[in-house]
Amino acid sequence: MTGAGWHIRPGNPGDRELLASFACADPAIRWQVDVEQFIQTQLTDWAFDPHAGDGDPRLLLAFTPAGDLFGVAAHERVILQAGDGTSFPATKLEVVGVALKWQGHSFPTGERASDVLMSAVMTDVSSRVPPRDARVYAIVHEDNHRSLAICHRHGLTEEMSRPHPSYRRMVTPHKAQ
Amino acid sequence: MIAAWPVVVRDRIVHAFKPGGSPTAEGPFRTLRRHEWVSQGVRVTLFADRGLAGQMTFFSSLNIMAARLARRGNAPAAERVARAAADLEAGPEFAVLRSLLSELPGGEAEQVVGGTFPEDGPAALAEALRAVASRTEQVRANDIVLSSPAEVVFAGRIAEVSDGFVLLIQVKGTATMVPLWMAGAAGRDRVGDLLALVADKLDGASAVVEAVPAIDIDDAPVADRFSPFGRGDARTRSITADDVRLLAGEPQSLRILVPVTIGG
Repeated sequence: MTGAGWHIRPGNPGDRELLASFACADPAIRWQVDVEQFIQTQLTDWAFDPHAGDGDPRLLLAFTPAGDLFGVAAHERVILQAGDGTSFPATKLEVVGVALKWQGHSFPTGERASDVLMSAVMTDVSSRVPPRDARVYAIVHEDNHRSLAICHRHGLTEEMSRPHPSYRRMVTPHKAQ
Repeated sequence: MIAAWPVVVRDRIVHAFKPGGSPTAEGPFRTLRRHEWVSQGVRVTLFADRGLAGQMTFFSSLNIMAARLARRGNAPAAERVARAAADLEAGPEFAVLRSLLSELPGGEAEQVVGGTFPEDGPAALAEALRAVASRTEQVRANDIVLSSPAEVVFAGRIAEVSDGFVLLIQVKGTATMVPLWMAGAAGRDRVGDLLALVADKLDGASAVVEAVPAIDIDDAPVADRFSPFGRGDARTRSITADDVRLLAGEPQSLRILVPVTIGG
């Protein structure tokens, strides 16, 4: 469907070549290159791994009206597991990438490209059956201030433990019981 | 960290591609070659007392994963993993290993590639094998296909040997029983030996389980490497007691800033 100036659709296996040319990284910044390489070389396999269907993996592509791919995102259901066996169903934002020339840019109607993409992700998460809109989280490099700000704007405001000293894990909030 | 042996001979790759067929068959290997689902491998010239003793080609164990991917019909991933294998084989770790293998007497080079380390083998050779294994595990950990749930590796040390089984224990303590004949076929059937079981999924309820020799790479930098992507690293999903307290309770509604419709 078309919004004011964009078109979002689910990805398919035929998008492999399109993703292979998606550029979203400064080659001098390692964690940015990791994101780009994952999108270019592994995301299609991740999304369509026939052995991973239980996680309901979703790949979303965002285009301009002219057909330029300006954003790529993916998410899936996971189980968060504590050492004592406690577990929570959750949704992991696998990757959210905005094309280099759209980073920091807005549509003529005022919406930031990153907000459109992230809104598409949250819309898609909230529409999945069975529901999995509780505990949506993202793992973000600690130096990736732009993504941390996007997470905050879109409601990933709480911080869990770090899976690695260089990476933060942001999650949607809960009301205490 | 205990990992599967990082180098293999051609027959193992053929076996991964056609599990029920003859591992020495030429046809399957030609198919793998034609589609570039296998790397070129590394050729070693072997010497003996009286001069040249022949040549041997060995391969990165990533080729086994490429062959399995090809068998499952995932040709693009098979090509990509075979290219990753070729990159590894062109790297400095393989160059060192190749040089050291060429200095071994008689058939020892073949034995090393097959997973048997000579009792009086040089320390440099053990180090070279660990370096190759370490690089291989780095590639595996960072690749979404190679960390797929379709393939499960259970690597550990043999703690007990009984009449029909060996008890294999992972570093973290999980244990499993392995038929003694499988362990023996991998050349690992004594207490203390390192062995890996690779479960290669066929369909929902069946798998090919292969016992292969393993190596202790004891490589802290590898363990410390982290990728937030993919399903292979449990750290992306493991939580602490503080996280449990944070996540308990009623989730709040998602915040959607821009109305967006997902179309076809």
